[in-house]
Amino acid sequence: MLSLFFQAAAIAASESDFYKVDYLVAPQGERIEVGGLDFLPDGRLVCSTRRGQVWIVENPLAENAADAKFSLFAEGLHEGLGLEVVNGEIFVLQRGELSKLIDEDKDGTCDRVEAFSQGWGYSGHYHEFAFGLPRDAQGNFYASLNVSFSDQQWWHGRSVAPYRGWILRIKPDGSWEPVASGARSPAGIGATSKGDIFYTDNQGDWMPACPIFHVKDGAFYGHPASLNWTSEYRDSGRTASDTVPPKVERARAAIWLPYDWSRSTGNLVEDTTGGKFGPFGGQMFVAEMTNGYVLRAGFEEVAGQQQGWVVPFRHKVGSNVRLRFAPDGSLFCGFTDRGWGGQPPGDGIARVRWSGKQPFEIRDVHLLGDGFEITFTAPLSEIAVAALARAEVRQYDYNYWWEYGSPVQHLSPRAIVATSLDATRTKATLRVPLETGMVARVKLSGLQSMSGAALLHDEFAYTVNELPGRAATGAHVAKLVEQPEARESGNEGVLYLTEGDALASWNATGWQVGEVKLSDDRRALVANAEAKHDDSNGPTVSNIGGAGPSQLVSKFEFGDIDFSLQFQLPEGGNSGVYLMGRYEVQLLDSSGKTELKFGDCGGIYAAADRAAWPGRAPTFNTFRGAGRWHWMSGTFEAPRFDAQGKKVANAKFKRVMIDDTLLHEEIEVPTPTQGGWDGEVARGPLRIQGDHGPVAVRAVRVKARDGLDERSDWTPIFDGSSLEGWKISDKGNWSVENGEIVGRGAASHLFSPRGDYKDFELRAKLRINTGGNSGLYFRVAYGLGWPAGYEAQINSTHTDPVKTGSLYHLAPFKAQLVGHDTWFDYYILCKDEPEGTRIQIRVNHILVTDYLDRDRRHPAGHIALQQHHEGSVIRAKSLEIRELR
Amino acid sequence: MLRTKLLSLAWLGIVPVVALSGTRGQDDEPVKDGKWLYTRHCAGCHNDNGDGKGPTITQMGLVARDFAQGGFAFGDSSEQLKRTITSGIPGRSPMPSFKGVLADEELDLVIGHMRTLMPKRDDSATKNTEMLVVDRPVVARGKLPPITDGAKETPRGLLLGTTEGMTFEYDVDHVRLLGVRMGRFADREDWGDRGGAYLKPLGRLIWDRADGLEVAITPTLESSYVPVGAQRRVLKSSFASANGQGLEYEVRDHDGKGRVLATLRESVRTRTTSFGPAIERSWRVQPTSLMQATLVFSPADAEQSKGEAVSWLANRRGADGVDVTAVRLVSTAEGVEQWTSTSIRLPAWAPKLAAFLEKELAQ
Repeated sequence: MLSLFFQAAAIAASESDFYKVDYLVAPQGERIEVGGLDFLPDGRLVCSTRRGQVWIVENPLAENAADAKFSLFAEGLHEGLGLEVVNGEIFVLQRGELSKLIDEDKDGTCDRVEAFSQGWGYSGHYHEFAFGLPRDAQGNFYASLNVSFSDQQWWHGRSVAPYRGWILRIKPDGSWEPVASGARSPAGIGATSKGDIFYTDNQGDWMPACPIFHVKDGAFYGHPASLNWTSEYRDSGRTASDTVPPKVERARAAIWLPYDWSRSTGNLVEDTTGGKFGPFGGQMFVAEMTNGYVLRAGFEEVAGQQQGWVVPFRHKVGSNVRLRFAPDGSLFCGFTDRGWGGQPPGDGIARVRWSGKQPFEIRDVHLLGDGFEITFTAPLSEIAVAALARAEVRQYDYNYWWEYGSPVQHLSPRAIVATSLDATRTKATLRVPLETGMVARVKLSGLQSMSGAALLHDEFAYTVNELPGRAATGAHVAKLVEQPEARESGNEGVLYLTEGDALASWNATGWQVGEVKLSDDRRALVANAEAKHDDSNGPTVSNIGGAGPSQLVSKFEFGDIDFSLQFQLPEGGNSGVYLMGRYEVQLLDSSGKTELKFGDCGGIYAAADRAAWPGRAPTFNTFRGAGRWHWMSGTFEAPRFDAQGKKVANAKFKRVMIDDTLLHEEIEVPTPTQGGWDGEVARGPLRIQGDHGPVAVRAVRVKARDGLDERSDWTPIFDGSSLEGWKISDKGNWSVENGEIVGRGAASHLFSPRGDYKDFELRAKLRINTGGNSGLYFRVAYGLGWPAGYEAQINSTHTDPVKTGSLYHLAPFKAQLVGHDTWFDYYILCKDEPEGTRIQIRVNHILVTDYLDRDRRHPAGHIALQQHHEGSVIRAKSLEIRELR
Repeated sequence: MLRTKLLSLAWLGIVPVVALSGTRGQDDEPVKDGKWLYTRHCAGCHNDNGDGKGPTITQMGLVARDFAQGGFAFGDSSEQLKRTITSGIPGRSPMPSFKGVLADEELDLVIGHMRTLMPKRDDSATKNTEMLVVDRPVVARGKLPPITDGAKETPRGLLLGTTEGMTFEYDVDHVRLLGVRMGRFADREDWGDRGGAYLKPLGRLIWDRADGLEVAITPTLESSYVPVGAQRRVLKSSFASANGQGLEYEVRDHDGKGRVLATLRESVRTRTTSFGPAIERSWRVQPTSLMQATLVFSPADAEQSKGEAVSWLANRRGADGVDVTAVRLVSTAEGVEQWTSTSIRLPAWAPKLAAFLEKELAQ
């Protein structure tokens, strides 16, 4: 009761009593979506916008904000999300370029745009923003590059162009270097007067909330996509996983902004106004879009780690993304809601001015080994000590995972042990045991100043990475946790040809599995016993040590396909990839060559009869050196034949790339190339040349572009919503989620309602998790344990060597054809023939198993799905049948 | 000059208006209002009621723009209409240039009459994302859509809009001219929604590839320097003012951070010829020490012939015309080379006109 009484007695105050917000008036019909703000030496304001315009504002400090006048200085830029005035010259950051804007004829509009710095990648994805643009004491600019979120798996940030997800340092001579990685959506950067650079990121995958990071050379902030551009990943041909945490040391955020205060963070600026903006000199002000907050923050270094506190300063100002202090000490706020929606107004510029009245605020927070020292802007009243003891202190942390954001974890109250107040009554001490690697949120209720004012903002949040005076723990607020099940892998429909038992899909005399390296003289490849293959690419296959000429020929035949593989060669190496065994893309050590011919790396080789097909040189020399992995990918179309077998269309390379360079597009090849097999056919195997010297390949993958079944007379077995009529054996846990059958838990089988299926074609889309094991049964009898029937195995990465594509017991197949957590198409033909029961299994439309059971083991029965063991998760959908009569 | 002009209009199948307008005017002293001017100069094709089915054009088996339908390929503001009438429409359209035929105030009168044949113009309907080129050239940067079906998009694209209503479309990463358009400038669709859409050029493509002219930088005979890898072009700046518009760039060795082999300034503009508006590009090339520059014309099927004042290069393209490019070496000063090229699409028999165009361009 007492506290209520005193609270009621406190003098109500509002933010606007101390900090007044005025809105500049944009020209009629214009939306100024601010991306950068700065002041010219003559006091005019310059503003760049998301819409690629640059405005100059005369009289920005006018007493009446409506007297500030806008004029268009430049337009047509490729966005402008950072702007800095240097010695009177205007620098604007476009998506792919830092530009200097020049008004040569002094007519008030830009007539020359100089490309001051460029060369980082821009793929064209809509989310590849470039943000900036503070400078350090040496005159270096800093920019940050957003990853992209553009494909179907929008929840995974990707880095498909160099240095997306990095912080860049752009030097005064225009050269630039990537400084730190792991950024996701780094929408703001700021410099402190001490020369430290901080950047803000935004909640999403691998970013549990909105953090502020200290920019340090070599740091990694947590989002894996950017790692694609580290030399380690580039040289090994690895790409960052969307769902597996990278084994890279992660920097800790200096501040995790509470999500209710910041859902979308912009830049941050230091108050260097020398008191013109009030009592917060040296502190940082942070822009926030969704709630329209301006937040106030301070950093301190504890055990070598930056960390600090944050409090709300002013709310509902507008869709804040950019802050900048004006020469007169007022704070300019730039708005854009980026088409997303934020706090209105969603565009324009506001000016925040201090009224000169002293607000009663938390001025500063300093972490102690056992609590906080909190400084206030005015002396506390008599009741303060009692009120301090009622402060609520709670600590929490987050999950570091690939899911979009993280709920607050391990939220727990902390009991205050003691409070005290210093003689000036402006500095209070809260003794409270704290844990490292946690954010502490502190609410101070019922505090009053001597003059009876209530605290304008009574909460702060402190990111406790480390505690002073204690040994550093290295604890993260964003804690590495077990990753949630992947949604989809992105490799749907792809057939892996060198994973699992890497040679099982090939006729491979003289080829072997094992990692390789260059020999001492670099002229050969030798086994590298110490190296282990990485999970994303699978094992390496090579012809080293093979006796005599040998070819690697796939057991499967293909028509139209997307193909990709990685290869490496020693010095002087020579090999080739023959599509359908006939049409060769050359692999060659073509180091240093400038005049390229069809026989150089990436060339489409000529036919033996040069007049029939002269070959085609690659457009670029992409060979980066012996012993390095190169990634070739492309799309190929088989020749077409009419009913009489007469060729009506040539084989065609629709596209061939090495690494990220396009070498060929829409190239028809009228005849097999030299060394290709004779005759042209509709389907043929993939062949890798092994008789011209050492070569190593890995991650050989194809995706069929033909052979898709377009017949419409399939009958669903599962209706997409219920398992009514299905029978479950043992203690199975089967359910329907999002139209999919999902099997979990202990071993069990799920049997179709009908049990008399005999001759049929069966198809389904299936997905098995990491380490999972399942099977699609047919002609199976209901029963407990392992039931009697035929089983098409479903297993990508379980320890059972029998993998997807196998007919269990009868035709085992040990290559891993499909990725885990990846939807694939399964097709089964089962019918009685005069000699026995014919069973064919296709994986992603490619025939893998063709088996004749002369013993006719299982005459008819149910269709069933297997749940193999606890921890395995099988998903099935589009389960359809065509019965044959 | 007059003979050239008559010829040029004759091949377009247009009544030679220059010759006629002198004689009839003296007889009956009509009031030369908008309607009179329209009847005289425009109605042959566009018809009295503006439906585009006038006697001259229908004889050619074609129809002209139907004013009642509103939309104009090159814009319907007075400035845009004036530009279209004075410059004509190059390429496949028979719309001739009325430059020198109609005075500025006469253009206003004609346009005034045309407006009576058009639906009322609604200025507020202009999308607020459309960029206009009014009294000065404009450069716009952004992701460009594929210039033709099957082409690739250009992530770092640049559009340079001239006040004559032409748009030069560039790929910034390779500093390469992709094509030239005529008409309205660009729709900045990438402002809309969450951004990242195309910067969409609105003009009609009149030249759908670079014209095959490239500046080649090679070592001089005295040089022992061997260029490494493919040359790269690196944009240094774009400029656009009343004094002209274009790009400045460097040709560099190999990876873009390599040695600078030459600095180039490429300016573009519309040149009005009696054959209609033509595309003009000018290069000022400054090779670095022991490097030299040559302008090469690359299409394999181009017929090349040497003219007196210019080199003629004709590149046959399909059934509807021939792209003719004239190149002049402007000067070779100490260490600086300058060329100008003029390109225009003419009917298939046009090489016969070459001599006339040559004389005109040589001046």
